[in-house]
Amino acid sequence: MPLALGTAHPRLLGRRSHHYAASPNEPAWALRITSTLFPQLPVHAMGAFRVALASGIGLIVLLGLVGVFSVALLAAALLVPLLMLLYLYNVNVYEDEPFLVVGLTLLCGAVGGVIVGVVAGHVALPVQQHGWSQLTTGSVLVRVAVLPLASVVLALIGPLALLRHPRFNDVLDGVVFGAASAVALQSAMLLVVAWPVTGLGLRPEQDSTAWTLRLIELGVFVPLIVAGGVGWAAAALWARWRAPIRDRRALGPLGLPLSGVLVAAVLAVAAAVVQEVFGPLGRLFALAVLAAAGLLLMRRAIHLGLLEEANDADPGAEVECSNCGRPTAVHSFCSACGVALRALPKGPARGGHSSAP
Amino acid sequence: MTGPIHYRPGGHHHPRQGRWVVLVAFWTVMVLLCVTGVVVALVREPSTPASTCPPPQSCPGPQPVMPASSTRTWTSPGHTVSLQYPTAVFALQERSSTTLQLRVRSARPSGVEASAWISADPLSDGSPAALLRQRKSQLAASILGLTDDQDSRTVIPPPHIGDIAGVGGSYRGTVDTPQGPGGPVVAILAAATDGHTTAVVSYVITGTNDPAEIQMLRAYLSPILTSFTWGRP
Repeated sequence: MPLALGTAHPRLLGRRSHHYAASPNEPAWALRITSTLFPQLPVHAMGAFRVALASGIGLIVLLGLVGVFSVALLAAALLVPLLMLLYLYNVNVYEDEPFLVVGLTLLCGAVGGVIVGVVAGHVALPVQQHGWSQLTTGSVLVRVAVLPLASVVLALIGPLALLRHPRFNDVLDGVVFGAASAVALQSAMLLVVAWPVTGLGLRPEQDSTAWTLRLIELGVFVPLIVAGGVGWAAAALWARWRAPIRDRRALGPLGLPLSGVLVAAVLAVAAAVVQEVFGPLGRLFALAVLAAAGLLLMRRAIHLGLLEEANDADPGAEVECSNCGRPTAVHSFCSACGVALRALPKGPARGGHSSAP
Repeated sequence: MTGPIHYRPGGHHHPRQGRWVVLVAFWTVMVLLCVTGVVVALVREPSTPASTCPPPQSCPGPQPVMPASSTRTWTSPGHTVSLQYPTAVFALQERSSTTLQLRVRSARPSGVEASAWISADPLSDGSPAALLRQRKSQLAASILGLTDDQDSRTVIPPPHIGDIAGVGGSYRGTVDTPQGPGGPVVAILAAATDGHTTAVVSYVITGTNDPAEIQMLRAYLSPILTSFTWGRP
């Protein structure tokens, strides 16, 4: 529902809080993948990413059912990172600093993933153990706790370097950088760990249904979990060191730096435990629940971050909103459609729009 | 850390590319990825020489390279079953009232590992087939795509446990971890009962797809299966 206000009147901010600030035609609490993973897309551009994501999932399912598992794994590993790269380019998240942003998010995350993947290859595989009792085994503990925690830390290194850059000062920037770094790490790790699968041949004789379910988990659910967790942690860091003092607790008690990182760690470890302990169907269900939690966390960080930053700027010149195409003053929200203008493509550079701190 | 600096949002910029450009770019990259994946899989595909002894022919198989070793005897409580295993080959991992867990000692730099789990339950009310299915579902948590072995070079008939014919056979799958699927798995599963006790044996080899190595490692299981004694009255 369009909200006809550009300024942040408290009563209407309350109404606005029910609508997702980055896409006001959607509820703030909703499980929508494209508007959460790619928040700066205008509504008319979101369709292409939605179609790409759906068709990518369809391709993974098809390849899995046909039995070309190594090809399906490659597609599953790179589906979300590829969409993320297209998104970063398409909405100019990097604000004319492509090498800095892509290098410190996708590439830095990928390097972290290679490190974790190589280490994982040297950890023993007690495949006959099962159930919760195996969590006392040393090598299992490394796989379900040490490596996921290391992944969270490594995924945050790139975004932390960007945190120092004054150009990227929105909580939204932090969420996007954290999510991009996390999915790149997950993708690179999966490619390294799954390299032996290419040695099984093009179509190994194995249960294709079990493989297809696992591919969906690895291609969709796990990236959403890590993106949600690390995105939330990055949002907490941005809110603490980039937001005005009054907005530093905008994300609530779980949005403080330490608790934000803790949330990411808990999600990563929980996802690993679920994958180690549960059988195929239980694992699918549990990962779907964790992915929903990660998605909601990320959406919440974007939404609250945009709302809290609503009052930071004075109204400026009239421009055309790229979400609805109608005229609006340069401010926090479009006066016609209600979208947060920060959640739209950034254009060549924003330096000219800077205002006083 | 520098202090917060605030910018007015742009908001009047459009995405750099239209929807069709995004979709064409996405699909082009996905097709290239798939082609790359196919090429890599074909290049790395193991060669498959014709079997000299296809099933259902009975063949002696290669002579096992079994190191000279003393044996150790494991007897289940109540003396319902007992077996012997060569201590030079197997290291004891865990032993409980109903289960014996062994690991093949030879630490291989290639990452090949093998382990045997033997369980004997005198109070079991499940049939061998049901217990075998249960063991398979337990293994499915860590072995992806576990299915009947179709490779004529490694497939085996349902093994005997001691002097009782069992159900089961050899299975193939892929090691699955929280970090993703990895190397190949060959599992030999067998279950049998004497009417009083039901025994389930699972022997899992990970990290190799080489039939000769699989056959050699599989031979290590033979002394356990042949020495298995049912303690029926």
